[in-house]
Amino acid sequence: MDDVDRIVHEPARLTILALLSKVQEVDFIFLMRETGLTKGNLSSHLAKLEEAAYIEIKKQFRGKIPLTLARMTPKGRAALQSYRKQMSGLLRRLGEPLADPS
Amino acid sequence: MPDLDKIAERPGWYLWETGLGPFIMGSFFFLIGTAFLTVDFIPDVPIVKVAALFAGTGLFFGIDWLGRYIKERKIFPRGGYVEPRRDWKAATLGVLPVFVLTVLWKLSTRNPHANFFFDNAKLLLPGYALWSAGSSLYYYRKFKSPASLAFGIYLICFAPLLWWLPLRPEGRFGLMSAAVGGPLGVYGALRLRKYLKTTPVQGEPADG
Repeated sequence: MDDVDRIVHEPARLTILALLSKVQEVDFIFLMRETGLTKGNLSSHLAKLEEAAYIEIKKQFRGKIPLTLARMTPKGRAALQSYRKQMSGLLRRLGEPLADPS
Repeated sequence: MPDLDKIAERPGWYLWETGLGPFIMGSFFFLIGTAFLTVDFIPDVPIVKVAALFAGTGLFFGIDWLGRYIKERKIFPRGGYVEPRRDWKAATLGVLPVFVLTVLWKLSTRNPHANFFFDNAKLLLPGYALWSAGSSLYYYRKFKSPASLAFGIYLICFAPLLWWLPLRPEGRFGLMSAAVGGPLGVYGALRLRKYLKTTPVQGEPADG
């Protein structure tokens, strides 16, 4: 378990990365709505992911409205894939089903 | 551990859930179908047929423009902006069988005007309707959506009618497209109206 990527392992950040894995880019409102995080919480998780170079953040304006766009980097994609492999292997070793029964 | 696959599917369903997806898809099918049906039924005057097809094409682009407008001006300010990833592999796999079948059919019949889909329309199109009905029932089972159940049953009832009606292949194709697209478009429009009424416009937090 020591080699698990702690940046990805946190549930909120994992949810953000999973959402970003299937899109080119999304804005802050979409992430807030889908993750159910507050703006402060989401901002801090995005900052951590950006610091690790797993995502890119672009701040711009649409008219007079601020727009924050996030997209996954190839490094982030690789980190998510490697995390999934690690977790699948771990669960297999524990003999537990992969899918959440709920 | 969160269900990553389920979460990753969310952006893909976003526009569908707002009603815009079914509205646009339904309208496209309905317009294509209506244009083909019109061409099949109007008298054999080439200029009238060409005019009907041009009108259909014009409306097709009109719907495309309307879809973009609603997405950018009405939906993104409410639910957020999403740019999906282009899945070229899936798109190619979707088009490739149609292309291969058409070429094989032309080669096997040795007729340059042969069209696999129109030549076998009487069986293929009801078959397609039944396959779509199966998909709808699968989605009903997966998402417990009564609309999917109703649409599946509707298509099961419609398939024999599509087989039985004495239509030319173009007419049969037009009828199927219009009959699939009509209810889908109306369902999408109603759902979109509800979404726009119940979801307020959200501004991005200043410190976001």
